[in-house]
Amino acid sequence: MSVRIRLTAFCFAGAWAAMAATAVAQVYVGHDIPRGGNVEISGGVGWAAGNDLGSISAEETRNTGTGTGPFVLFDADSKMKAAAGLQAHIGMFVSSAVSIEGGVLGARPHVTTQLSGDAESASDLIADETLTRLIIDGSVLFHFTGASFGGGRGVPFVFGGGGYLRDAHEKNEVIDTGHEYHAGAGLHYWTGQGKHRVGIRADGGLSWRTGGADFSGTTRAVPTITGSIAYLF
Amino acid sequence: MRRASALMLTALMVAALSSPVSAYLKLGTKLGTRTVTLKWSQLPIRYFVTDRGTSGVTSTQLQQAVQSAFSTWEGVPTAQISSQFVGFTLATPSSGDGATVIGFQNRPGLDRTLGATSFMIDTTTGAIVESDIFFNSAFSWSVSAQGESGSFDLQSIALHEIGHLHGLAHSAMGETELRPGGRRVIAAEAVMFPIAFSAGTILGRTLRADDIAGIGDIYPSSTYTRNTGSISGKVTKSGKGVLGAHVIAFDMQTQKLVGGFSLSDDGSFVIAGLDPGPHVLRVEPLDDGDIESFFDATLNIDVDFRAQFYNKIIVVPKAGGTGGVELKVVAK
Amino acid sequence: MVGAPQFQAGEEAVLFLSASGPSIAHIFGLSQGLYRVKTDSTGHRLVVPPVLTANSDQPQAVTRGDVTRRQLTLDEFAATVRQAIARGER
Repeated sequence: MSVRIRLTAFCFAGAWAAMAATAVAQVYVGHDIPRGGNVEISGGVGWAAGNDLGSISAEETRNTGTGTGPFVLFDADSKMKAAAGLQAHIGMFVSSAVSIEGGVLGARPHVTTQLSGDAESASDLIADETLTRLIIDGSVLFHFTGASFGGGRGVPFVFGGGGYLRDAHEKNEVIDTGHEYHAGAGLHYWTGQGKHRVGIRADGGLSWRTGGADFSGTTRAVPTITGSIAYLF
Repeated sequence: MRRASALMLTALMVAALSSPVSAYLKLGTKLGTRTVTLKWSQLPIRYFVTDRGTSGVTSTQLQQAVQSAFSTWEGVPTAQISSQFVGFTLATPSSGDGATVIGFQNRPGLDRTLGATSFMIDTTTGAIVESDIFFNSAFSWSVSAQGESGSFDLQSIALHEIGHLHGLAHSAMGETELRPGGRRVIAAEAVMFPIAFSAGTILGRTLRADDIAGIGDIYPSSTYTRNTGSISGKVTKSGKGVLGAHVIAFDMQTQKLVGGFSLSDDGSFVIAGLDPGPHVLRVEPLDDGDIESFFDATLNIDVDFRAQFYNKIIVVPKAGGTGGVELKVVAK
Repeated sequence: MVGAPQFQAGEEAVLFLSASGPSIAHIFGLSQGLYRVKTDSTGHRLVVPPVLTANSDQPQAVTRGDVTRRQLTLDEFAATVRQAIARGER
């Protein structure tokens, strides 16, 4: 009798140990997270804040004895207004935590130049044009799988990367190019189960832009926000 | 070819043309009913220097200053011009001797004139036969590299007059003030501005964007055609063209200023030789008393309007032009 | 000579002349001493271009498009010149 009892206890203990090993291997309860080999396609809207494009003056060489410094004929203060546009990304998860992606953003920001301070009292006036802006970029995303929520649906991430900037002026006759670097954070929220699923993606960050339609050659830090529908497979 | 009797051009003349000329302001002459741009048809321009100096400047220094001025114009990459110093001469700068002579002349009666350029033109072809420049030795001159107080810089004035010799007219890119004794330049952004900087300065030795655009327009190199562009349009007032308006293009990337004029009764203008990129435009009347420095007196120049800006950023393409600009001015 | 004015027969103009004897009188400052007279649509004889007048001994910037600068009739211009002479201006 005593032998039978000891054998049973051993079997139950072994079964319990097996169940415990399975629980440790499973990080999330419920839905699978994206993993290496998954491809994500997303598309939606993007918005970039406005930024300063530089203040310059139209100057003439001053004659000796008429004052100091150049003679200012007028001042020109330029800005690019905030603009929304369309954006899309395609990326691949190289692991559960890391994905790489390429993206494209198109927008039509409005550029204004405030003309003022005319030496011959020409009235102040705003001259303007509309650009067609294209940004093609690449990014690396790090997904904080350990901080997921909603049963694993919501996964925050951070990203960083760089890209090519192309501004076409009105009539597309003149193209100014430049580059940009960006960094930020965002969130995926997936629905459905299995390998194919749909989700939403939102992110915000800063884009450091140099060149393009910038009159002073200064690097500008521009806040950006995007919102997308994402498809994972 | 039998040469017809030559006509000496005694004054700056730009006639109203049926179609606008490119950019800047160029000297022209009438051949019958048409106006042709003054231009040397054969290069290099061969010139003599009068073998006579003035107080503070030897004839050798005169020749060196003249040569430096020619070299400055020839250094413009968008222009194709050349010159050749033939030698010293005892002849003075005077038209009709068949030679281009540059030298000092004592003209005390011209007490507001530092120097002047005259031309002899073949009236059959419009080609320049000779051009002479005198520097008025009634003034005090200097060739010092730092300038000399109380003396006018010879190289600066030579640069201006040799601009005329090449066919450039005056630029309106400058501001002046009235003071006891006359007008003085406050500032200028063109060597071809008609009034010189004060004595003692060498600021006039450097060509500005306006000058460079002009010389490239008359003698364009392949670089000029490939790498520059233009803005064209009209200046109008109450729907009618304005003749003689000064239009300034300001490059937002390089901050260069280049000017042009509306040279037709319909107000048409073209500003060429511009770097590609965004520009803003400004128009102003030439109502500061210097019309005769720019235009033929027979033209009905309109000066009754206010200075103003254009409300669009104009983007100049490379090797092309942006047209359709209409600058609508209002009467004073 | 570049900058020297040209005239046509029948034209009317006010000329400020300078001369150092025995030379022939010439226009002061090439074209600076020349004020052409033109008749407008109402028959008034106007001096062209608008005249620059100094109101004080201090330097005064000449601004293009100055709305206060207008064309003077010939009589107004003559009065301006007489006033300037009376003030001892050149």
